[in-house]
Amino acid sequence: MRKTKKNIKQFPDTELLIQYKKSKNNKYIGILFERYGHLVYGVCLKYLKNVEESQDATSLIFEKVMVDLLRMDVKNFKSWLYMVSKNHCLMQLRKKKPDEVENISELEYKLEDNHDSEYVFIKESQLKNLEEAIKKLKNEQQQCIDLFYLKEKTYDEVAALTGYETKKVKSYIQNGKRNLKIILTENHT
Amino acid sequence: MNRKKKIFESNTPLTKEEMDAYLKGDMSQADKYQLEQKIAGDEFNSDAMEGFESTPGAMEGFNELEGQFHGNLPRKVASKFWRFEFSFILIISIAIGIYFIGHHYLDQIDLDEIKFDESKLTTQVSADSSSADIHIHPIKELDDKEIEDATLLEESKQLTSDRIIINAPLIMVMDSSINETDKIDSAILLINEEKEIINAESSDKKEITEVTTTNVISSNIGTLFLSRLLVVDYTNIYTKEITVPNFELTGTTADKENKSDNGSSELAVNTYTQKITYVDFLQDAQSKFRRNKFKEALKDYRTILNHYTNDVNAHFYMALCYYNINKQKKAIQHFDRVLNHDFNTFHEEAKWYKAMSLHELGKISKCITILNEIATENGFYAKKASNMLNKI
Repeated sequence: MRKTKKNIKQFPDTELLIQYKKSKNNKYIGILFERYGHLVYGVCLKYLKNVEESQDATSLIFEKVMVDLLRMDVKNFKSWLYMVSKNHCLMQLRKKKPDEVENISELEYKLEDNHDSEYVFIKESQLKNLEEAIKKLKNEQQQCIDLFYLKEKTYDEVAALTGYETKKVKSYIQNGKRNLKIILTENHT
Repeated sequence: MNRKKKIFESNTPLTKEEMDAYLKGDMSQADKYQLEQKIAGDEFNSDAMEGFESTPGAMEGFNELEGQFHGNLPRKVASKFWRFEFSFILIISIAIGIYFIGHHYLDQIDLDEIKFDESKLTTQVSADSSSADIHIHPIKELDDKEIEDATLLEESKQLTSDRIIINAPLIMVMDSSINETDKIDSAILLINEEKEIINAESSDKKEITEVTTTNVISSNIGTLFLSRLLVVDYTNIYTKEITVPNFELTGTTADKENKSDNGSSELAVNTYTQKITYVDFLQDAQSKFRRNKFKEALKDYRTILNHYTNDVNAHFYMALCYYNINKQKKAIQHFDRVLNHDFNTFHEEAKWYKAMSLHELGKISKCITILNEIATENGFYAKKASNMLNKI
């Protein structure tokens, strides 16, 4: 019995989803919660900025997940869950403080699709142009990407070396990555 | 090239332990860098980490949430996880036990008086027991003022969402990190403590024959969880929206105000109606119940019953609300509706809590009758009922 449980815990997300759809047994959702519950809660914290509201939101999100997974064909659970979580929080904010949600367009995600923007695959051939692409980035982004990925410095070290705040460093890296993807995919087509 | 590749590497989700260590700054520079790569490599990871970083101490909140899930496993799998849930149930049993000792004088109450009250109650119950009567004689609910004026039952006695067993789980598997031996040990400790309390009681005990099979029939109706509370899924049955009044302030702007009106063009309240789906409305009510806003939730359930008179969810949770605001007779009326309902999802709970309501009212013999029924049915509350009987 114990052995079976261990095996289930090692199932990849896709297998858990298949088993859940087949059996409707909530233990599979339980394992997914163990894997992602804290991340969902963290996202809720980021948007809702309140522990109690984030606890409730996390519960509601997983209630929704339990129902939706039975009727939807989700291929990439992690990125789908991220999107569901983010949309839930933005909806909450919109209900609570409609004027304060500046970027409602963030809600443009379509839940039925398997949103996969994070995992736009960069082919080996495209990587050859990476160095050129990095040069096209804004100076701050270039610096941070170079130090973080190529020189393997931590956020704090990058901040110390560049003089930017750690928060800014993170933002430059994120935006830099996004721009690199755009440059590389555009060049390739 | 390998380092460059890292920029677009897909990263695995951060584990709770990794996040915890990172937040505490409890790791080497190399580990820190590895982890930061995972954070930078995945929006989900980075957003979550940002959330934790912006709310110091928030991991505690998640541990609480996790604990709630683990502590409220569903009855369906209760046999498997009985040991884990047992401690929770025993705590309630002990609380009830202590309450009984404190109120032992109830036995001295004039039995004739009790019988008189009960006869009235029995009439009431039997009138409710026919489904035809349910429609003929709707329960007269308390109005807003009566609800607001009601005094809440003392907190330790309230049936809050954390105490009722139908409290829904989201985690259906046990976390391997939880030490099973510890849990079993604490359960044994609680059993022993409870035994001591029982032994300290009077010798006037009723023997309950041990029954090996359960007579409780499980409901097959679909259910779902709203605010982590079990409800019957009426989604495809109750399709008509619930109409609720809403208000908005209106008024004449200063530049258009007619001075000859002599100040009559002040702000006014404009009333209009709003339509909400059954599930959304119930969700809101459940959220209030979960936050122990029993009076507000009660008003919502009352609205639901005005639209759907036979809604078992509204009857059951309304009964709990009435119990918590110490309106036990109303609670019993609604528990009876649940007990006579075609959907028996809350049947066991309604019976058990009805017994508690009766006890709260001081109707001990009626309470004993129901506890005996629960004990012989050998359902989920059988052991608790036996324990309670031993203490009465």
